[in-house]
Amino acid sequence: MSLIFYAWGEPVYILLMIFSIVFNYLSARSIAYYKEENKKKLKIIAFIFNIIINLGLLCFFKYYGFAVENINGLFHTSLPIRNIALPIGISFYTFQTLSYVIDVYKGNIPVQKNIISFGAYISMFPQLIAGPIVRYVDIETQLNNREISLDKISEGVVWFIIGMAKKVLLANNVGMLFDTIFATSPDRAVLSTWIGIIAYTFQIYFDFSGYSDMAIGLGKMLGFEFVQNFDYPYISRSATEFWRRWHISLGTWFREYVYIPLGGNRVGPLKHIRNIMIVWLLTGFWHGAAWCFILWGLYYGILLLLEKYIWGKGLAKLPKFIQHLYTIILFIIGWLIFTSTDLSSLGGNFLSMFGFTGNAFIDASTLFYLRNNIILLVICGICSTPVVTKLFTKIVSKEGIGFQIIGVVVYAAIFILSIAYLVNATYNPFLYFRF
Amino acid sequence: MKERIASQKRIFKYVLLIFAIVIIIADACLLIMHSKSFSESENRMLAQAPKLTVDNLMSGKFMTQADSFVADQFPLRDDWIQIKLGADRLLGRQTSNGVYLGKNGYLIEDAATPLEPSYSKNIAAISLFANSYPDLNIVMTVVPNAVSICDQLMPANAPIRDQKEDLAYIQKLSSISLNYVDLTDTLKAHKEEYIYYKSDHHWTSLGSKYAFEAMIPDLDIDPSELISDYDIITVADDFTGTMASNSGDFSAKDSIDIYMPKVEDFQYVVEYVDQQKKSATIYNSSALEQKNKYEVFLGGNHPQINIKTTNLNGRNLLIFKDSYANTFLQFLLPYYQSITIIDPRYYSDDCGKLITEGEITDVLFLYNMNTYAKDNSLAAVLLDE
Repeated sequence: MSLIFYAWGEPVYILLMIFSIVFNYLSARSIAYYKEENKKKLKIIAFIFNIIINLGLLCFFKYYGFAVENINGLFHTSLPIRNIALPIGISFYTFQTLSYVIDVYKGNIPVQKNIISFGAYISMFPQLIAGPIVRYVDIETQLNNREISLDKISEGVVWFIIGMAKKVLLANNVGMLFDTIFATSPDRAVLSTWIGIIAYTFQIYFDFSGYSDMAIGLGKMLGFEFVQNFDYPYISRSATEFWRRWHISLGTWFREYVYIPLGGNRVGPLKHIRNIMIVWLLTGFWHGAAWCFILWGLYYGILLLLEKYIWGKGLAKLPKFIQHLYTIILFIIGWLIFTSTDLSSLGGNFLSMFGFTGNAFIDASTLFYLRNNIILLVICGICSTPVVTKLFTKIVSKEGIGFQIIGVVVYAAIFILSIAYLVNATYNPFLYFRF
Repeated sequence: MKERIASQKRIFKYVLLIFAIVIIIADACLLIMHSKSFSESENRMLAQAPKLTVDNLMSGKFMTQADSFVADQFPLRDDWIQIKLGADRLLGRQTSNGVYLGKNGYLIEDAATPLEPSYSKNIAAISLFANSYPDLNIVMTVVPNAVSICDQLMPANAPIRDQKEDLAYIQKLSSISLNYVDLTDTLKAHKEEYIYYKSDHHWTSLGSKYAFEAMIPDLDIDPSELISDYDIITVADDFTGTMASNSGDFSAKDSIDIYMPKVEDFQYVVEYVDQQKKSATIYNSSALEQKNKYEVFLGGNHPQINIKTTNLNGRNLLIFKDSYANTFLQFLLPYYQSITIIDPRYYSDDCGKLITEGEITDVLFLYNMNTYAKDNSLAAVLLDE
């Protein structure tokens, strides 16, 4: 079932996935075997071999073109550039596999002897394409015995509907606004650039968290409980907090398998700085083979260090309002770095944001964008906070049949509206396909 | 707290029920209903159920085709589009699926961005063509669309592409080798009149009449021969065109007028080469029974149409055109012995042969800016590639 779903996009890569399943299954079993037999050296060799193959595949498919381009640029060589289609979800499932192999190696979990269960874990289709990255530890018991109940299925459907609405109603609509504005040259009005990047800020959150919600919902229908991936990141009061709320499963992965093994924060400040920078360099690079992603990762690394060592304590003493504003501006700039295709367009848009291109603050187009999108942007803003969910839960959990009818009608309306926008979809981009 | 969870669970179950019903009905409809091949309201072919073959499956084609099949054949597609339009309106939006929701019920197509490299290629090919036939009277016009003429109908501040600049560019490059006519000022002078349809991307007969009158000197038509009397007949008053379908807004109804020049003892015969059919009129009344009533003019677009008239003045006109010319043709008819109409999007033959065998004396290029910007077929036909 999962494999069929996977074949949807690029059928050829199904072979890659089958290889990945068989290879990692055998590899983990041999690691466990050497462990039992107390053959430490062989165990380490098997482990390193596994890591090299897994990361090698990821690097080949994801970073080959990027590497060749940069080598050619640096050394004036002309290695052939091949355009390799990125297998769907390779970044996600490679990280899932690694979490399993590393935990088996460390002895945190017993090895999975049933290849079907193992295959189900790797290719578990609900979250294959856009996360969350489910660690084997979190799901081990569920793989072997999970329960499917009507309650869970209906809960899953609700998650799915909400996720779909986030994606189709909010993300796609603000995405269109972003595309329209950023298709023009950066000498547009200052406010237009701001509206554009704010639109992107909402697009990436609702797109990604919408997919995560749909995956969690599908998981529930199949009897799985996945970890939550987003916790209202835009209400954070510091960059550090932002990363505790944004793409939680990725953050957890890097903390467990990179940051802590490197010594985490239980080392001297210099080593700690090194650890942070390594983690954030990798986080940026994980998102894609481009300099802007790396820059984006380092940007957050530096911010986190600054908050830790310089102004974190001072920041916490400021009025809440200031803390929010500070964080919002930081992540908006972060998304500008993230979404830029190259450094020159990043520079152009950055200058435009702060009026250095000598452009007007506001012009006729700005007014049109505002008139057409202000309600949508306000809705997105409100939905980025827990207010709506809290209020809605409060209303529908009151006693009385009337409140329950309200609940059902609201969900049904959201669902119907999503279909209406889907049927119309001349525009349906998928941001996290690239990762 | 327990009460709370219990009541939520009940809600979730009803949602599941609704979800299941919608999915099952939609799937059943897709499977049982005979799929439509053509959308009357959108005026385009719809995707069909994909064929399941190993080849299709392995290349990933099957799944892509399945996606567009579901989107195109989704039950009650038109109603869903209207729901979306309603939501867009509530959000204060002035566009819907790329169509501007203008004033007075006007639905206005956005200005298209020229498609390179075919755009430059076409311009170069026209010059080459004109230079190789210096004896012919070659006239060209690219008609601006409602979006740039009827600015009073557009939503305030709409950031549209400036068609005037595009047209100036075409004029600059083309007027060296041929006789280019800019219609912007002519149409602007009549922008308050009914020169474009409200619900369709075409111009009306009235719009093309003004254009024709402005072009008389360039077309080299003797003013003394000019016919200014027309039989004007309203053939439809409930036309909703492509803009209505694209946007989902079906509130505006258009009327279609035809203009038949009043000439004594004048007759002609129209030959549709692709269908091997002849007719004594350029109007196709059966189109009035269908959704796209604009096809009343020539029955839509054809690769090649030959018209022979009883005006034996020795002038033979060759037209390269898009659908804007279908309306314009009414006004040209009485002044030529023959008119050959080529639609390069569907035509693939030699055009040099057409000119010699048809003893062509006049050539007209007539496009609207939005189609011209995206055309990728004209150069190939002109250069006989």
